[in-house]
Amino acid sequence: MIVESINGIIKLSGDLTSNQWETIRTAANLLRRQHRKGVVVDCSGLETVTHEGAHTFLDMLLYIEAQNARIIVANVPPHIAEEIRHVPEVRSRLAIANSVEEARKSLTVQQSFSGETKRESATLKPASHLIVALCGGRADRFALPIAAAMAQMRQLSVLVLYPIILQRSLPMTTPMPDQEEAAQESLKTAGDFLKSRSIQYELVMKRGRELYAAIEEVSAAQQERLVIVSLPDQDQRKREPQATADHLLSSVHSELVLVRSPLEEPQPNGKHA
Amino acid sequence: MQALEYVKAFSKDVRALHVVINPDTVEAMKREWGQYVGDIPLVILESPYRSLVEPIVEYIEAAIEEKPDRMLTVVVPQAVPKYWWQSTLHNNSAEPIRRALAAKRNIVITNVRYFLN
Repeated sequence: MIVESINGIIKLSGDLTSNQWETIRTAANLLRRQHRKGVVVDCSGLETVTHEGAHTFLDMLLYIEAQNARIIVANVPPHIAEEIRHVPEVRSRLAIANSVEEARKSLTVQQSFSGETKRESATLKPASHLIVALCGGRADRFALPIAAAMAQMRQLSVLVLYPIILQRSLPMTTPMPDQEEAAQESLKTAGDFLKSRSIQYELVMKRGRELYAAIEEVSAAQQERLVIVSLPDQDQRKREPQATADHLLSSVHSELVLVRSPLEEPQPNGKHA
Repeated sequence: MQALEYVKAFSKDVRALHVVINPDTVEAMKREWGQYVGDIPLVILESPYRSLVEPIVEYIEAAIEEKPDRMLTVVVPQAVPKYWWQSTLHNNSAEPIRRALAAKRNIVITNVRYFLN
């Protein structure tokens, strides 16, 4: 078993026949001092792993969860992943990136939104702010100006929320670099927009299983005056945007504004507007 | 190899450290480790400034920080030349490592000699 600390990556190779988490942890902690973004554990060189060796990943998972450590496992060969899945808790909770690049991308976004929250203003006080939830759909560009207008009218600050939605089969900490990058971009745009209007704001990226659940969770933790939700684009299979709207109408306690983009009118030639 | 045999005799948590001074030798090192040792984890550390001592000391310090109450034994292989002039041909790293760790708490330093014949 070889633990190689190189170029900001911990690379594991050889045979993992016993629990080597302590050995890896020291190398990872050492690397985290130099690479504050976080550490990628590249497993591409692992040849075999025994059941006892697979417990390395359980201890790693427990450490990541306890310390909120930015450590992402990447490049796990299929036969190794199969063995790791036999350790019950690891199967459902350990996030694995498909590649080192994907893991690095995710760490970069995580660093920008440390602790899922980036504060750009003084901490929001209860009943002094509104929440505007963006979902990456066409309605975002309508929801944000409404939020800005309401904030100025009522002298509120704004919490801009962007939920990252993960399938139920994936652990909650799974790197989602594409979604995270889109979220980061949307939040940055929203932040610039609010800043240009001298509105105090806070940017939050939140992971959840469903869009409505993520919004409900943030809303329950905040004592906001108003929630403005940019509804997702139409998707008949997911019954959107009705599903999100129905859930939020019955669960959000504060004032609620649901923003939908204009319906697409079919063009005479069959194309959508 | 003698140092590895020695250390395996008294601890289950054994880690070997290798500092990369010349990156070209890493692959051979990894291959030989798998071939001749295998069961002890080898930790390969980068040394951006080609210092042998610094990465080792940093790793040991990090290991102690993780469990401040534990006593850590550092086994350093040391070449013993047959003739005095042989010492000029061998880059004997034991002494600087020993000096760097001497003032640290919770560390026992053990030299395992190997004879140059």
